[in-house]
Amino acid sequence: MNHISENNESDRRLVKSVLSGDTQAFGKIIKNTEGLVAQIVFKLVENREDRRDLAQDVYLKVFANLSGFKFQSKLSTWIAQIAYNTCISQLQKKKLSLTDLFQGENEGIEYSDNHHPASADPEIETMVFQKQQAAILKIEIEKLPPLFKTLITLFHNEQLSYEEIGIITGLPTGTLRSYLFRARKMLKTNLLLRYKKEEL
Amino acid sequence: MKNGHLTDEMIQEFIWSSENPDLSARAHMLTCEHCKTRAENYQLLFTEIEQLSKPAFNFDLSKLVLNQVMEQNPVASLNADPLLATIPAIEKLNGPRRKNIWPGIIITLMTIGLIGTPVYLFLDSIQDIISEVSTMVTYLIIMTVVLIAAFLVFDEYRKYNHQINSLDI
Repeated sequence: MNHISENNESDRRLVKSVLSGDTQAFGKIIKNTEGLVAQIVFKLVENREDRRDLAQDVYLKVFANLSGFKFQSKLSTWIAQIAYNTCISQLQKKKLSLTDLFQGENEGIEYSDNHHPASADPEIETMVFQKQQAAILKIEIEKLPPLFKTLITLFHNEQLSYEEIGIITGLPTGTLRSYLFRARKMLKTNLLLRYKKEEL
Repeated sequence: MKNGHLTDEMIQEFIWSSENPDLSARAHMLTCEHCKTRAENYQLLFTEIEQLSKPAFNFDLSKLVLNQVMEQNPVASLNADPLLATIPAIEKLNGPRRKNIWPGIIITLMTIGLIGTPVYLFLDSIQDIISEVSTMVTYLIIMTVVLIAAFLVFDEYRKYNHQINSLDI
């Protein structure tokens, strides 16, 4: 039995238990998936109080709609999709549209192939990335536009596939690849810019 | 390809899109140290991201959610058996299985009464008014009312669909 079908079996058992009245099984679902939900909520929502309310709201929706889950994806992917949509709805209520999710701190910088701050030379990149500290990397990821840092986190930190991220965000694979390309490039450029500023 | 080297996009594709490898990019990578180093730099950077610590809620989410589920249904919280307790909680969140239809019936009867009584009382006057208005105007009024009603129904349906899609179940 491969890893995916094992997951699926475990998902089915848990969902069946919850639907037959086992509260503890729902607690287990929360424990299993709250890490992924936290990644999405932390990346899309800045306010701590909002995060707390949203996280609860996500799982109440999951609980209320669990009988409608069709096992067409992993349970964690479905829950992450609800988390993502709940966060987007919350942002829309606060009059923030999806386009605002593309605006980061270094908005005015050109991220084209012609623009490589501090590096025409990949040797400099190597030096910068080798001495990169986790704390600085976290800060620079946080500076990315919310949608970009969510995609980077889901792909590189949570190791989800394009297909899974597509289900969660509702983005077509082509768009997703294009956003991820821009996000990675933006992150790399920002790190090199930071290095350049520190050098001056 | 730019200045004899792969573009940033091609390098990213080379690293993260293994299902459709670009053979020319692959061949270039074998001979070009410059592009190879750029690819290795990307890998170095994103391997570090893989190892970053993950955020976590600083409260017991599971406890909070389960308490809230119980709170929404007092019967559940009073029920000593947690297995039985969840069933009414699910019904509470999903709505009761058998909806109480009486409020709907009463509201419908009241609406019919409110509209029907003046129509019944002033039927002759209404008929006189309609007979004075030309057929074209009557059709125009009816069409306008039907169009507005259709628009409102469509709008409600669109809002409903939007809410369902935002759950994406």
